[in-house]
Amino acid sequence: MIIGLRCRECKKEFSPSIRYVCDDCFGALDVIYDYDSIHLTKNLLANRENNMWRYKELLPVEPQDSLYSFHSGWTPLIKASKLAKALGLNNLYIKNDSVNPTFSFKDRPAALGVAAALNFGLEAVGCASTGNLAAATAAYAARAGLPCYVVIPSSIEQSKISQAQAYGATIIAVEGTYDDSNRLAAQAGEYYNIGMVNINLRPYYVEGSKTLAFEVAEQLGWDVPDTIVVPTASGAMLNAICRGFEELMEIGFVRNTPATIVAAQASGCNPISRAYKEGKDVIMPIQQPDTIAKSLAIGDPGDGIYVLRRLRNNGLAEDADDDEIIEGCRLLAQTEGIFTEPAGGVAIAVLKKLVEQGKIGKDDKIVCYITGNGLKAPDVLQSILPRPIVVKPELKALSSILLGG
Amino acid sequence: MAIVEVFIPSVISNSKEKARIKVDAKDVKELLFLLEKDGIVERNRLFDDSGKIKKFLNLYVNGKRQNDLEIQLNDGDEVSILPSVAGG
Ligand SMILES: Cc1ncc(COP(=O)(O)O)c(C=O)c1O
Ligand SMILES: [Zn+2]
Repeated sequence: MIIGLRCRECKKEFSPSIRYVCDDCFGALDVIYDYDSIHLTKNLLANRENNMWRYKELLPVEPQDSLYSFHSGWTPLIKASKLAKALGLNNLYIKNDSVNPTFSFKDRPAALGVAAALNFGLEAVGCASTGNLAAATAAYAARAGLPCYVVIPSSIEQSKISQAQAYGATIIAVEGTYDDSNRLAAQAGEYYNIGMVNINLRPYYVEGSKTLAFEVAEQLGWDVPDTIVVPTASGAMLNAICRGFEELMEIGFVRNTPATIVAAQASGCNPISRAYKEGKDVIMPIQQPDTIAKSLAIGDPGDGIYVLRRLRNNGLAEDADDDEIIEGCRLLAQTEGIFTEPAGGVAIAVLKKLVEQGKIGKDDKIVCYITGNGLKAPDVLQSILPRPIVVKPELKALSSILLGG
Repeated sequence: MAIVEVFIPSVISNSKEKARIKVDAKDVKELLFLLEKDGIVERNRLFDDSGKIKKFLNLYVNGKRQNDLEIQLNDGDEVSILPSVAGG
């Protein structure tokens, strides 16, 4: 079903291969499909297993058994009535992607990246990561039986490092930013012949995140939200989600795409929302990101310019500072019982701000993507949470604590 | 003069093979001149018509992005030219 790869800039086409930039203009490459040859129907889907591979016709590689059997994706879409009420909204849903096998949305692209690596016969995989992709790539590599090398900025959360190490990955912690890690990983991929899922396998990798659109539409009964809120770092996921909705329209499954796309960023690393708000058409990289939302700390977003173009067409961007992010995490946990890492707090905080600014209608059907699990960065809420009350094991010690005591 | 190590990925080099070579050059400008002279990478692969480095390419000296071609090089510096990889 896939025809090949096409340069996003000059449109030059290539056969499917391990290649990620155009050899003429060095623009990024995207997978192209022959939609006419795709015979997917809603009925066919109804009989398939509930995981991301149910949309295999719209994905560039088929999973090997070891990857398929992980059952990634098909995470819950939750009607968030209590959170909606707190924000003054009437029709809010949470796509809780923090309950994937490795506890972030990165399961989706990592699965495609590792599947592509196996297809191309590569003998090692890896990635550059702000934390979540490290763990995801490491887990899929473990299932595939491939060694895994992840390059991360040395500042990321220990829990994310431990998770990736538990799966057997070799961690290369760079004294520098994500952008430094990304560049080093690009060179390592080339010089040591490693399938770096988000670099030299990127055209395949990004396709995995389209399933975030497919699932939401299917879970809404083949309907499309008016507004989607997406935590954004490199912009790859936002772009993929938009393309996912566009493809559903292309194959006749839905009649429109979301009217409003919201890119949610952290104020301490906001290259996209800053460009959007300042009315610029270029992205100025943030040299030294500084935010508790470490998974969103990408100063030089690869897909930034493409996200910006989409937002100019039909979108919004906003950012949230550390306090607002923490409050977003708290609010989601205490209204909907979903404990998210700061990236999720960014999405909630930005949604809250845009509602307050009157930029999002209160009756809009909104889907907010929650992309990472709170247990991956459990310490961030500590600053606002009370210390546990320590008592002697005696009933009378509870009288001042419990209601009606 | 300074001996620097240069990394060129396959998508950029003339031979379509990646290159990792030592070159003796005083600044980036001279380095690029020598790379062209030795048939490793052509200038028009790297620069647009206005003489600026192409939009989707970055040049790094010791891991720092550089646009200034006059920048002095020192012994042991690491120079790389890479497509601006879409990270994340
Ligand atoms: C939890 C989480 N949410 C969102 C993102 C942003 O994804 P992207 O870089 O594709 O914009 C990341 C990136 O690592 C992440 O880890
Ligand atoms: Zn091109």
